[in-house]
Order: sequence, then C-alpha cells, then structure tokens
Amino acid sequence: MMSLYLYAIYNGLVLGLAIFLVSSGLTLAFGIMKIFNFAHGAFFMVGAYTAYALTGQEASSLFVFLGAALVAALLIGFVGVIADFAVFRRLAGVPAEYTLMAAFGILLLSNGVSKIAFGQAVHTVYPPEALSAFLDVGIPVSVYGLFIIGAGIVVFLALEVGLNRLWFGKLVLAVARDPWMANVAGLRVQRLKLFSVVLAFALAGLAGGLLVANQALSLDLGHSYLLYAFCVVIVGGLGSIRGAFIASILFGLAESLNAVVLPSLPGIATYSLLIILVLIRPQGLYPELSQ
Amino acid sequence: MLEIRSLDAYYGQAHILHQIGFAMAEGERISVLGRNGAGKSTLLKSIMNAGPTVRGEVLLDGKALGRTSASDRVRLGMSLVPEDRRIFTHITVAENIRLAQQGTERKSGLPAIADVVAMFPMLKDLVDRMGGQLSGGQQQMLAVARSVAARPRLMLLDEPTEGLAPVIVEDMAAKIVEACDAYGTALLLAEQNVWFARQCTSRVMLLDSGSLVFSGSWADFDASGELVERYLAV
Repeated sequence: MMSLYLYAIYNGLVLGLAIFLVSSGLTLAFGIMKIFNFAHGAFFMVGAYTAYALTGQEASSLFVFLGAALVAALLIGFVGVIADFAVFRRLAGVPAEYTLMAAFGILLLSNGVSKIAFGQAVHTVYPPEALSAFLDVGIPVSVYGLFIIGAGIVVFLALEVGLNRLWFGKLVLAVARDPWMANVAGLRVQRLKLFSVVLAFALAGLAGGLLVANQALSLDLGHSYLLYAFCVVIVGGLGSIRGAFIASILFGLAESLNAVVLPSLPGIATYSLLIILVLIRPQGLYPELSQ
Repeated sequence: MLEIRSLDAYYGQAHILHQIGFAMAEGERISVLGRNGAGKSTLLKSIMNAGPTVRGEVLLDGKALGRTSASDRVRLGMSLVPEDRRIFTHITVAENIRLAQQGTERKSGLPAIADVVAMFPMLKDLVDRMGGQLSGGQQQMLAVARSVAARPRLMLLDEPTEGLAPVIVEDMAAKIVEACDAYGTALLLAEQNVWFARQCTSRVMLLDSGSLVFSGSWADFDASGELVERYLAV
C-alpha cells in the first residue's frame, strides 16, 4: 500500500513538472504582456509535432532528442515574433477582451493549419534509449519521468534567475509592472515585450519537444495540458513563475493521488483544489506581478 | 530650447488644454501653478507625449517633435518625473537610478550612481533597499534623483511636494536647484506649493481650466496681487 502512494507521489511530481513546463510560457505571457494566450496549447502541440518530424518515432540519441526540442522552441519562438507584429502589438491599449478574442482566433487558425499540415492520425513517440530505462527503488521509476522533473526544475530556475537576478530580466519585469513608466524612463518597451512574447512562445515549443514521448501525439495533445495550465496560472498568482511552479506540483500531486484514493471520481481533487485555493487565496499563491 | 505652440490636449473627448504657447531657454527654470484639475500634469505629459492626445507643436531646439515617442524624447534629453512617483518596487534604489541612465542610451557624460546618491543624502544609506520598501518621501527623492541621474537637458517635474513633510520639502527644493545648476538642466515644475515653486524657479506661469492666464517673473506675479486669490485660492 505504501509503495502505491509513493508511486502516486512520484507520478504526481512528473505530471506536476510537465504541467509547469507547459504553463511557464502561459504564465510569462500573462505576467508580462497581460495576454491570456488561448493558443498556447496549440503551440505546445505544434512543438511536439515539430520534434516528432525531426526525430521520428524514437530519437536516435538524447542529444538528438534535446536538439529537436530546441528546434521546436526556436520555431515556435519565431511564430511568436509573427504573432506579436501581426496581432498583439496592434492591440496594445485596447480593452483586454480584444486580445482575448484575437488569441482565440490564433488558436482556431493554429488548429486548422495543424490539421492540414500534420493530418489527424495519432502517433506514438518513445523516449530515446538513454531515457527509456526504469529504475527499481522500491517502486518502478522511469528515467524519462526523472528527466521531466529535472527539465521542469531547470526551466523554473532559469526563469527565476533570469527574471529576478539578471539585469535584463529586471528590465523585462519593469516593463511588466509599469509599462508607462518604463516608456517614460526611456526603455525600449516594444523590444522588451517582443523578447517576452518570443520567450513565452518558445517555452510552449520546448515543452512540446520535451513532453512528446510517451504521449498519444495527436491534434488534441494541447487540450488536457492547457486546462491544467490555466488552473496553474490562476492559482499561482496571475503572472507569477514561482506561484505557477508550486501550483503545478500541487495539481500534479492532486491528480495522481486522486487516481489512487478516489479512482471512481477522476478529476475531483484537481477541481476541488482549484476552488479551495481560489477561495482562500484569490490573489494567488505568489501574486507579485499581478499587483 | 523648448517651444510650445498652440497646444491642445485631450483625454478621449475631454478637451483639457487650450491653445497653450510659451518658450523656455536652455537652463531656464519655470513653474506652472494652478488648482487641481487646471491641466498642469496634462501639460507636462503632453510635452513628453506620455498619454494625452495632442494637437499643436512641441519644438525642441527648433525641431518639431511630432509623434516622437516618450522614450525617444528621453534620448533627446527630456525627463518626466510623474506626480505619483512610480518607482520600480522590485529593484533597488541604485537599480532604479541605473535603469533611468540606461534609458538615455548615452555611453558617457552621465554621473556615477554614487555621485547622484551623494547629491541626495536621504538616499545615502538606502542604495541597496528595494524601491517598494521606501517611505513616500524617500520614493519622491528617488524619483527626482532618477531623473537627475539621466542628466536631462529638460526636467519636467510634476508636484514633487505632494504629501511630503515640510522639512523634506525644504530639502528637496535645495536639491533640485543644486542638481539643475550642476548640470545646466532646464526645469518645468508643475506645483501648487507657491513657496516651493518660488525656491526652485525664476519664472512662473498660471494655468486655469486648461488655459494659460499668466506668464512672467515672480516680481510680476507678486505685483499682480489678485492672481493668487483668483486662480490659486481653494
């Protein structure tokens, strides 16, 4: 029984860090540009397809697997440049509803283009050999799962250090917190926002490339993660990377333990957690950017 | 250096400033007085292109600035200290100053952060403190220091004394004069505190309901005894 719970906790951590990989870009987009990017899940899915197109069903090595994820990140980052020039910066200064509708339009467009480009078949992708083993530590632990946990932590630390310790990150946060004053102080606000858009989109692509293995790769891939990601952004504190990280782990653990404790009521722990956290901390776990 | 011609400013449909016109020379210091809602802040923001929709001309060194953005105006040597301070709370005092200097994109000729802080002793022991941990007076001093650090040719200063203790107001007047003298900075100061305005500037303009109703020296202002009663009394 104990090992069952340990296994659930391990699975919860893997799911939580996977959710964080997807939600980090969404959090960044909201925190810095105040864009609730409905299309984020679609770009995550396109990132996964891009990696699959480069590696096939199984990447020949860990290096190729990581390289494909990086290419997916760069490609989706470039899509972010187009989205910023074509849509987001044109909507600066208009009510948020317009940006929301535009993001929804991008989602529909991305889904349509993906259907034409990738077809509707479901593909199976395996992790590279270096990540395909299982370790026996009392419970079976997949190396790929550990890799996801490690990747999530690395992305979290990179964003934390990058935004809070590096000077460039502090400038990006200055634009996020007070774009008017940043402009009046002489900062190149549009350039800093463009960087943020590219980074947010690239994170979606990177998540797609890293999480593509052990998934049913289809056009619906982004849907389940996007739902979690929205929950995480809300609970974490709109725009807070730290809050998103903690919320992701909480949701991952809740979902995984739910499957053990209440297998006949799937999802109830997740939604209960969402409701409880919104009620007791409506400002979010770490509301620094939304203040 | 700066010339304003037939300037009208709007927020949406609201017509705030009406046909404002004046000129100021290099290094000159002018106060803009007026009641709340007279249009003082709107005038400064219009000159900086930082909010209102503007018609008319803002000329710097004889060149019309047109749609030049606020951030580009910073690089032309203009600096606005807004009424509500707007210190960046997530970075330190020193980093707030550094950020303002970065905005100018000047490679040389800017004062060292230590020199700026030395000019504003209230900030001396606070250089590593986060902007959000400062008192109102300290934040206001930092807002001015941040502007001075960019070494602008023209500082637009919006009601820096609002909500400050009298002793800080006196200190701030001295620091502003000192900084402007040190760098030859011209000053356009929007104020309601006549004493403070008099300490900092040599000329005064009066705004009422968005129109310029007086412009002259402080001696002229004092000679027109009814001005304070008519346009500044609450």
